[in-house]
Amino acid sequence: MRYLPRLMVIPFAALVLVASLQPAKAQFRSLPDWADAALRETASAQPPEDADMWRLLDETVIEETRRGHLVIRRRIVQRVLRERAVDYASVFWIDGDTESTKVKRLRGWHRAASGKINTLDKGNVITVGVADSEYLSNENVTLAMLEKVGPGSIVVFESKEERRSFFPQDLVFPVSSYPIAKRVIHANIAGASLRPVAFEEWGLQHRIEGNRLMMSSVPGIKSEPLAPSLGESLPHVFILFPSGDGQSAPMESWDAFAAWYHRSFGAAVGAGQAGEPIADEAALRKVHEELVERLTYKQRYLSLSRSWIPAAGKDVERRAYGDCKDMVGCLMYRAGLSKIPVLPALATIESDRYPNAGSLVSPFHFNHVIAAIPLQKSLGLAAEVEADGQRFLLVDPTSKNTTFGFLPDVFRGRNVMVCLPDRALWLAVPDTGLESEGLKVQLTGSLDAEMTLTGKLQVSESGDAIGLRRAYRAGALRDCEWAVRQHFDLPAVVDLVLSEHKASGGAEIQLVFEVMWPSFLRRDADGFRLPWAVTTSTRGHLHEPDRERAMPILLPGIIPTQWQVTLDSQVALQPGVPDWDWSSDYHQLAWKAEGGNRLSISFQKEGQKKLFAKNDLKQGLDYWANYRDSFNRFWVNGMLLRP
Amino acid sequence: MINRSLVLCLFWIGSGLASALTAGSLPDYGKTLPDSVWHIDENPEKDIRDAVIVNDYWQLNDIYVRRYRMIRILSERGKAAAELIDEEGLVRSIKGRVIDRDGTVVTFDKKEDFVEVLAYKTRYEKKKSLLLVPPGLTNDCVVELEWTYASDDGLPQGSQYHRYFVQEPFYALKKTIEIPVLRNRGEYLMTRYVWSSAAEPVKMTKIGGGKTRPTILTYENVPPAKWHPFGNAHYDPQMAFVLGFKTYPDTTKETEKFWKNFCRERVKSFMNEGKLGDDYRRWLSNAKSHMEFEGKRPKNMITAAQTLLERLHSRLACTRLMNAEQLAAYRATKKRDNDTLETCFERGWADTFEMSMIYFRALEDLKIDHRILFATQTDEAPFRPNERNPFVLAFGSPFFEVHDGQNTAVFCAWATEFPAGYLPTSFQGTRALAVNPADKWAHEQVGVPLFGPENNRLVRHFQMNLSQKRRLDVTMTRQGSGAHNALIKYRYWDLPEEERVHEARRRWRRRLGHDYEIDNLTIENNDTTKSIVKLTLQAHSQLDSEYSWLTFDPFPGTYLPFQNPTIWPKDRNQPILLDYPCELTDVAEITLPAGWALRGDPSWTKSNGIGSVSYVVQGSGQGVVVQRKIILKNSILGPQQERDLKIFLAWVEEAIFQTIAVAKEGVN
Repeated sequence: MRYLPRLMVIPFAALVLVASLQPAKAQFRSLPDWADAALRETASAQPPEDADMWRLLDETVIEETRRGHLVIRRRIVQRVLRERAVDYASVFWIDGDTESTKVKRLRGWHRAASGKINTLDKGNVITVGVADSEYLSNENVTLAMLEKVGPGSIVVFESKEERRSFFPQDLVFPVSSYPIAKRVIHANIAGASLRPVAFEEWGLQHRIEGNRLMMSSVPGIKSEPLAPSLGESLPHVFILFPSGDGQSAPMESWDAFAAWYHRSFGAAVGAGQAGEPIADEAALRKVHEELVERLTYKQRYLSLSRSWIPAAGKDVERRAYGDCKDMVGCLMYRAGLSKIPVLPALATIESDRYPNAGSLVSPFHFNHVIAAIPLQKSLGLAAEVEADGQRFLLVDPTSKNTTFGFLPDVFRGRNVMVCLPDRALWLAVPDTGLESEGLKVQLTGSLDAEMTLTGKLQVSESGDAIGLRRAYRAGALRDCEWAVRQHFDLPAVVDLVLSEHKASGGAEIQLVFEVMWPSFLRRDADGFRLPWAVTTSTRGHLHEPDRERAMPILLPGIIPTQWQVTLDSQVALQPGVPDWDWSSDYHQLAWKAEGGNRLSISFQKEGQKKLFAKNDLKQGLDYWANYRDSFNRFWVNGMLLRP
Repeated sequence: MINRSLVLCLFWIGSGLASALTAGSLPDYGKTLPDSVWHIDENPEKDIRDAVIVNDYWQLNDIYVRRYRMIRILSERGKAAAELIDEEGLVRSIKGRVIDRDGTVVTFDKKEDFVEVLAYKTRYEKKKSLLLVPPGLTNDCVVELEWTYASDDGLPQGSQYHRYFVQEPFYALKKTIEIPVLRNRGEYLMTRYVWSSAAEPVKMTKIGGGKTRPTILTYENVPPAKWHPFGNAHYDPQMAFVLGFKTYPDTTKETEKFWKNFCRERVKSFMNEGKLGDDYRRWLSNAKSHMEFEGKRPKNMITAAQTLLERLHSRLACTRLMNAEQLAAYRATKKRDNDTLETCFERGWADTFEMSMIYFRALEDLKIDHRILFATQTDEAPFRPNERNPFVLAFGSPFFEVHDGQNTAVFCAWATEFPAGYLPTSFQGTRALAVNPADKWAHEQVGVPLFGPENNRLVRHFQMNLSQKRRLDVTMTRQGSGAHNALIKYRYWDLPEEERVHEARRRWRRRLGHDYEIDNLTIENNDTTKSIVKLTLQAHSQLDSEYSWLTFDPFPGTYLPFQNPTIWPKDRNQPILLDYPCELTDVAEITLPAGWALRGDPSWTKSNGIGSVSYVVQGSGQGVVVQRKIILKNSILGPQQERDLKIFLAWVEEAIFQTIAVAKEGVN
């Protein structure tokens, strides 16, 4: 320290003294009142067991400046309990869109375990666009990061955004993987209402006062194996805003909604006058073929309406790309030139939502658009459905590799809502309308002393079960080999050389490979094991070892697959069991095996998709326990080959 | 009278000059396509598929780059070749068209087809991206593009260097890069270019160059770039590149002279920065007292350097590996403008470069003979002196090579988790720049040592007891060395004590699965960054079988130690770079109930040039001992060893999933 003139020391010392006289916890910054309140409310409570982070308050308030222009305020207060949660807790994000949303305010506070408080540095806020060449959009995400967060930290964020909405509705999933002490959703708009779904099944403590929902002690919902994705099975809240400016879609009934969509869709596409129901498929088939040949799937959402309203048919033609609704629109446009009528039909695939005529009128139920072609009479095609005295052929132009006249397997158990000019028509997709998928594999050859197999592998695919048809049509034989390797998870050491290939009638693809497979049979206990590609591995559990399962169970289904293995072995081998069958509601397996120096093994498996909802969890767990037990026993001993 | 021949002569000279001046120019956009373009077809033997780059031209200028590209699309997948994403938002003008085989031409529309989106926005800047998705692409068409973007002598703005790879995902018939005559534009640094040669089947030609003409490098018949598992494209002999970088104006083109000047001026300069004070001197004096001196110098340089490093590591933590208390203190500390190297001693921590600087100064102060090593990591661009490009070297994380007579050891000041003399695995085996401060900062290219498998050991010992009621009790201990001990450090070191056990239990619960219940778990000997951690686990399982024998895994909770990729493209020409050589030993000592014994004999041993895998089971009455040993001899392999590696990985998988069977004697 430099020598200070004596006179200067006194005021300096005085400053130091004064500073030290201030109360120990004095700081120039403090947390906002509402954050302090949240801390006080939970001060005496115990953090939930095994939580790495506890969100004390998560509040969303929605207001509007005028119809369709929303203001959304968020406030969160979280307590970091373990190092593991530090990265997650430090960041706050807002999903946005350069066209239709604007972040008006974004603030953050961090109170370290020591008591010191820092505020969000504006230099730690970034907005990043999410577009790429497959997804042309103005979507972005704004991230704010607080520094130096550690166990014991209190992290507080507050935001305000302006948002234009296309529909007078919003959908919020109020839960997270971390527990929340208090969750508030307030739609502070006259005439707005909240509809919580799946709260009872999950046993969530909540109450609704007017258009304000308050939840307390919300448990953290963690991911578990074989669980459905974000959808009906998880607790969610529909927020219904009053419509009435005539601009947005009518929500009072499915009929009104469908009629609106029919009108808006047609106007955007720019097709000519709609024709009469068709009596012959030739012209439609030709239009469809040319369309799927030309168009590539790409999403282009550059304005608010574009997530629902298609581009003009002419534009899609020129671009030669578009998403599902653009493809239906282009089909409508082209077919219209031949006077073939095309109606839009809203659908849901892959997602955990199963809407029907009795569901709450909401756009959030659907994620796909297909085409419904009115028929004068049956054309003998599989994907024809009749309802209300009308007959339609359902066509999904997005699935370019599905045979014309069929729908792909993803539509199993689904409904579609055809949008007629004046109403909605709900149709259940019949199983017979789906293109059947299947796999047949034949492996023949001989094993040497080291159990290396040399021989032939023949794979036959029907439907587009594992992508062979897709690859084959694109002329990419190399991709066909990779599709086989990936689907069966073949070990890299397996050498495959494609020797023959053919497509029979466009429906079945057959590939023949010369195969060299080292360690085809592997030593185990006192026998040998077939590869997992043939036997699959043992079934696992549906929950963590020390926890009860919370998520509903979604059995994904198994493509009907048949393996036929015929091998000549230097060492005579006997299978554990010559015969085994398992047939339950959702799994069917069959095994036949003959031993000796010539092994002949046939193994068939098939499974159906099934959702065990939260209320049926016990049933699902019991089913699985039974299936798992039986299969694993058989796998351990029945599938073993003994010398 | 004008001599006709003279006129003709002048004409020839004139046109010759003209062609020299226009020698560097982009192909003309918008001309009629030659028929030959439509004859381009897939050819799997040459790796021509999906799309072919007919002509690709890069004209580098001082403040912009002009680009031309003609692509022949042959399939659905090939359409990706025509897409363009301008991430930096620097494209100034762009035009393009799609020509279908039937003659239809779709010209890109500025508003429709070039979509401007936000790249990112911060407090200080906003950048937009331009996305181009060509309209009207079919499976059989040609795309032609021309555009200009802002650049700095061909380098991205703000960048110190840029490597143009000649190969891309699709086959290219012709690629040209035109490097301008680089002039000193009054900035401190100048741009220079160097380039690699090209291997067959690529044909490379160079014209121009020198002080008046641009250098034009043309590459023809360029096969598509291949990605290989455990590969590094930088080492691919087929990977031709052009490298541009910023350097000092007076820098020489002679490799040796370049590095001599660089080391003498730049390295010397930054290595001598930083203030040290009393705390440092006190620490050094204390360290000295633990060494043997002969006059003014240590008796044994290597031993002294080792002691010095150990004392440094017990005095200062490195910011990349701090324990919970240090981390909390670090988070509460603000960086000050007048922070120096001495501040590190006050705080108790230093970053990688600070640690290295302090160690360097101590070596100098103690007069320990040493050289500074600046290296690269195996998955990055290698150090090639003739590139005269210092930017590939990791100057912030150097090593120190110490010699004593014939012996050499290399020390790392910043990787506190390793024993002194061991180096972080990602740097092992790479080429480095060695600089000798005692010899006028003379330089040499050296190799960073590659340590053998015995340095990275993992030993797990399972004591198992099976009761008559078929309850299996297991006590497992886990200890490792080198990279395997470091793994455990990274996992638990920065957690507070209670969280360590909690986290470990969580991990092992998941790894053991439902069949086991953990009774106890302890982590011992985890008090310094170098200590060999011992994890002990006690668990039990109720075994069950409808058959008269029991099958179980004698090494529960263990899993595949190496990645096992499913897809290996053919014709590999890149070296194979694995994480580190290692020795993994698992031993299970199992006590069976009276009257029980091992069933069958599942022992086997397999080995090849990559390593060995053995699974040896010995049963004598109630006692069964299973030993599984996996040795990976070397982590840097040649491409021709790929087949053997695949087979080795298959054996490893076999050994990991193998089980044993035990039964009551006399029972079938």
